[in-house]
Amino acid sequence: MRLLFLIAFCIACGSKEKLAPQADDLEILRSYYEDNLAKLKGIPSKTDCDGLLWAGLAKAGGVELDLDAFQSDSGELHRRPSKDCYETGDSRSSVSNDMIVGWAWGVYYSKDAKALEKFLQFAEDNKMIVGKPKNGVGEVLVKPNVQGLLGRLSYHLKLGSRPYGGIRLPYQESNKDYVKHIQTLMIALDGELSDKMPELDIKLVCKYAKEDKDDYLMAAVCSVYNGGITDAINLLIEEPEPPSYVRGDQKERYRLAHWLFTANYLLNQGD
Amino acid sequence: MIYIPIARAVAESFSESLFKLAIPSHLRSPSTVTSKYCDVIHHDDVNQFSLLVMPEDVTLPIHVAADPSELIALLNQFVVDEKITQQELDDIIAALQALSGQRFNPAQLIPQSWLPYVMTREQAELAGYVV
Repeated sequence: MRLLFLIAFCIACGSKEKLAPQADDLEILRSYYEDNLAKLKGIPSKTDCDGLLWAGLAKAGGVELDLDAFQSDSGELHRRPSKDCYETGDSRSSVSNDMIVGWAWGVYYSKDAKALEKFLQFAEDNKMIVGKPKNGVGEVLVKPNVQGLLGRLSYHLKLGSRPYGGIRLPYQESNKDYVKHIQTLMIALDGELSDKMPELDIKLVCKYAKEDKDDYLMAAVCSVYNGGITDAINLLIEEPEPPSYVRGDQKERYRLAHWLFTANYLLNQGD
Repeated sequence: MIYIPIARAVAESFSESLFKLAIPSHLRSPSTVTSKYCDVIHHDDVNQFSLLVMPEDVTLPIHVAADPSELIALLNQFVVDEKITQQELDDIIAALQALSGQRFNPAQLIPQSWLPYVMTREQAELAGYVV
């Protein structure tokens, strides 16, 4: 029982805390941020079947847009506002864990507890199978780490604790660009919801940042825990070519969403 | 019980190597049915990690003739994979050496960096593991 007690309160074990950025650095970044923010209006893509991911990130980047357009009254989420990616065959599923992560970021920044509650009710009523196809190969099951993240977001938005809010599995290192991207987004969001982060999670993001020195998102998230925020801000301002996972039918708008998301993430560390 | 994530590929052998601390292979009676210290459960969709179902307050004797090298080799791979630190491995090795001939609780040796991932039964079930 003693060990269980230790584990229940063990977020401090093997964990990392955030570092605060310097006000001067944030001031410089803010002026670039406002310039770029003026360039992106509304949902980055209404046609792409990765639209929800980028809409959520744009929202978290401060862009004014209607994230509800991706959600049915039942609470179900969809890849694009027309809600037909699966039916038209444009995607093998109506939604995915990656899309949910992007959406969760948007919900976090807009503090949209109502949208989260609707989705969690839908997910819980459907045993965490949240899209089409419904059964068998390709079914859209909310993965354990996404469940844990949504549970912690529920608590953060004062919707109460969810029993799955304590789920946290180690991330498996990947060499796929889109997996690295989503893992980084998940770890960064987890960091906003938790006082301290598992050291291994931060280590993984920093490893990814080291592998791709131009990836300003990974550099930013790593720097918030391991130091070097000034360098991360400078890299963001230099604005190298976006990483390969920034792709799709609206690449230029996604590039802006990606930049704004990263900038706003850093700016919010100063609050 | 506590539910400890472990790389699926080594989960069964890890449980076996723990059991061998109590009864080394060369001393094992043919009538001994079990070969594992604890159960391992898998997930239909999560291929990377299985869960060790470990009693939280049960002690295991370390036989004086036990050879922990198999267990240490597995743990060493966790260091290579950067899942635990070299210091954490060194601490476990030192503890195993110091406890030779005595009883110990394997759950107490979970490295600090791994503790945030340990789950309760309810969490394991909700995460989709067949408990």
